[in-house]
This record gives sequence, structure tokens and C-alpha cells, in this order.
Amino acid sequence: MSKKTLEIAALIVILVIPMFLNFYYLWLFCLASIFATYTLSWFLMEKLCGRTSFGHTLPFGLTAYIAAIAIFFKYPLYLMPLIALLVAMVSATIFYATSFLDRVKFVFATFLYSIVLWEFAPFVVIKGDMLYGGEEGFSIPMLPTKAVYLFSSCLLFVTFVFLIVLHNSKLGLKMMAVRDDEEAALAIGINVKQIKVLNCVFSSLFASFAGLMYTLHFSHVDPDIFSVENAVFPFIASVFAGGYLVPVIGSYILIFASKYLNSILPQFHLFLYAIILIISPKLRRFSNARG
Amino acid sequence: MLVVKNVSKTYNSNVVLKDVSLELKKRILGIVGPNSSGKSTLLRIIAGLEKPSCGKILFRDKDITRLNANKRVELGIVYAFQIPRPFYRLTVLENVMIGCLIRNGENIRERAIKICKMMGIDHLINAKAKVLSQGELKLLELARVIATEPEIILLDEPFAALDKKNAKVVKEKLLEFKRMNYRMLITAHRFKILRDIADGFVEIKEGKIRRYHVEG
Repeated sequence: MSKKTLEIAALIVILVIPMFLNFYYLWLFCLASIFATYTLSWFLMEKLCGRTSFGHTLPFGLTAYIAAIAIFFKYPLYLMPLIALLVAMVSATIFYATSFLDRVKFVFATFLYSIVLWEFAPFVVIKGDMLYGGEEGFSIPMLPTKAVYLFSSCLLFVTFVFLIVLHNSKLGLKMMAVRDDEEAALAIGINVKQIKVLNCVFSSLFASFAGLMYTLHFSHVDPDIFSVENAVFPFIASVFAGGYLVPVIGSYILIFASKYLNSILPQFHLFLYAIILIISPKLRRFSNARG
Repeated sequence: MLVVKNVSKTYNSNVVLKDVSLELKKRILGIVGPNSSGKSTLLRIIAGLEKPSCGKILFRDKDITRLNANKRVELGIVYAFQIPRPFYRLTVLENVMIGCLIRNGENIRERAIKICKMMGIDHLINAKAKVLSQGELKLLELARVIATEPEIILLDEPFAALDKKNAKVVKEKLLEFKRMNYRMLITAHRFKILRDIADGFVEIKEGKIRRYHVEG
């Protein structure tokens, strides 16, 4: 059996197990699968185009927010993928425009997007017979967890398989060439702009759909979806980056560890994030050397 | 076939090329000159990696001055860097396959293996480019260029940073390219190194063409 087949089989096992667990674990696995999709969308940009983004809360959070507001105003659920698609296109445009900066500036610029959205989100207020939004965010009617899990696990599976197929395709090869050396890629005949656009679109698309799942899962969105914690989550989850299954497992571990540490002391999980961030350069060097 | 017409290039106020004109009539033209004479800039402008401040590049009587580098590769003009710039995290085979991708043909892998064999790097196909020596990198750079099925190859100082042994290997490969009827523009510091390869020479100094010598 090839490594790819084994990875896909392992993912299927991870996705099926929660169906037989109690409500709490199903809920937790659902959250983990959403964040795993979010991490993979980020990883698509990092691994295939060499761009480290701290701004993936832009497609993720913006879709979650707009979808929550749309559901709040009783727009039908089947319109939500359209919202995800539109936000993904806007995000891809912003990422693409930012990709003309060098790699270090790209990190800071995208981080700035997250911070700006985080600061701006509390000002989103809708005045009706009551005030909605602001610091409290928006709440929507709850959906059955099993149904949300079914969608989120399917999304994770599709994202995962898409990445593996892309990685082994001609397009993936071109993306990796652009990642390694943009000018050399151009000199060998690769349309660098087109490759960057496609990478930004794919990455934003999966992040947007993960954001939509986030809204459906929590039935609530508040400004903290744009938090620094969420902005750096994919970076931390994929710190042991190897194949595509490693970031997925990393996301699951991080979600479970966060929930456990939070139960000991509120916000205690941020301590774990900080430690991983501090040692991340060494971990990355180690995983790159292995790669 | 390829005509450079009154090309100048200025960086801020620094003039690198002054009204350069040349024509690739013969199969292989050597461009010789000292460091900072504008040789590399001229090749990069022809390749489309830099835009000229003024002047024109014509290919088969068509103005390609504003065409992007990747479009020029599609037309058949391809550039090889002075210091090889492989895709370091990819294998040798993948590096060559990327060159093959431009022509959109079938059996890209087989074609890439064939080119690796021709360049004598077939024993390295599964090695990552980052572990190759300078000589091997140079051969990989040439293999990648050939993979694009070019009409004109722009070689920027192909013997730079090579020891005698590797320089000899590269020279043999260039002579092989000559036998295969590729058109080439090659830059070098001295005439001597290109004597057996080039059919004609252009001497460039301080951004100006000083001598144009094409035999026959």
C-alpha cells in the first residue's frame, strides 16, 4: 500500500470513530475537524507556495461572521456556500495582492489583517428591537451536532484528498517551483502570477468553508474568531510538518490539549501555544532536515 | 531570428547598457566582456526577466519587448542563470520535469529521464537538488533549459564558479548542443573560453558594444 493510501485510510478512521462516541466527544471531534481543515487550507499556501500567512482568519472568520449574520436574518442555509465562495474570492484577491511583498513582509502584512479584523469586529452592531453583535457577537439557531459533523468531516476529507492530488499533479509541481524560486520558475516558463492566484484561491476557499462550519458548529460567532490565537493556530498545528496527515493530527492534539488545559485554568492553553511558538524554529529546522 | 535594437538600461542614474544593438545570425554568438560590462543585464533583458529602459527585442520579426519571461520560453527563448538556481527542495527529476511541463506533452517523466541521461545526471534523479555539487547543479540547469525544447538558449557565464574538470564537462555539453543545432547566446569574460564553441563574438564594455566580429 502506498503512503498516500495509508494516510487517507488513517484519516477515514479518525473521521469515523467519533460517530460511535458520546455527544461531548462528537462535539469536540467536530471542532477538531473544522480546525484541521483550517490548518490544511493554511498549509496549502505554506507548503506549496512558501508563504507563511498569519491572516487566514480573514477567509475563516469573515465567512463565519457573514454567514452568522445571514442566518440571523433568516437567509436560507443553502445560500451559505455562496457566501463562503464570495468571501474566498475577496480573501484570495487580498492574499494575491500581498504576495508581491517579500516573504517576511507577507507574514507581517497578513498578521495585520487579522489584528485589524479583530479590532474592527466588535463595532459590527445591528440595531433592531435589541442590539446584536458587538463584543457578544451573533447567535443563530442550533443545528444537530451529528449533521454538522457529517459536513465538517466530509469537508476535511475533501480538503485532504485535494491536497494530496494537487501535490502530485503538474500544477502542484509548478507551485513548488514557485515556492523554491519565483524568478527561476518564471525563467523556465511558469506563469508565476497564475500559479499564485490559484494557490490563493484554493487556500482561501477551504479556509472559508471551514469558517462556515465553525458558525454552524458553535451556532455563535464573536470577534474572538479573528484572535491572534486563531491566527497562529495553523502555524502551531503544523509545526511538525511532514506529510499532510501531520497537520491534521497536530490540529486534533491542539484542540484536545486546549480544552483540557482550559478546564484546569481558563486560557491556560495559551501557555502551550507560547511554548510551541518559542521552540518552533528548532522544530521546523528539525522537520525540514528530515524532509 | 533574434534582433536587439537600440536597447538601453538604466538603474536609477546608473547606465548599464547604452544603445546596444545586435543580431543573432549565426548559430552561436559569444558575448565577451569584463565584470559589470552589462552582459548579464543584456541576456536578462532578452529573456524578459528585466525590462529595457528603451529599445526593442524582436524575435522572428515580432516585437517581444513587453512579453513576459514565461511567454518568451513558450516562444523558445530560455535563460540559464550564471549561478545555478534549481528548485532546491525538489528532486533532480522533478526539476527537469518542470522544464518539460511547458510543452504540455505526454510522457513528461520519460522525457525528463531521457534528458537526465543525455546530461549525465541520470544517477542523481532521485536526489534533492540541495545536495548536488556546483558542477552537478550546472548540468541540472542545462538539463532544465533543454527540457523546455528551446530555439535560443541564453547562457550567462556557463563556466563561472567551476573547476577545470567541471568546466570541461560543461564545454563538452555545449559542443553537443552545437551539434544538435541549438542557437545560443553565451556570455564569458574571455574569448579563449568560447573559441571552440561560438561562431561569432561581440565585445561589450561599459554597457556599449565595442567590437562585432562574426566570421563567414
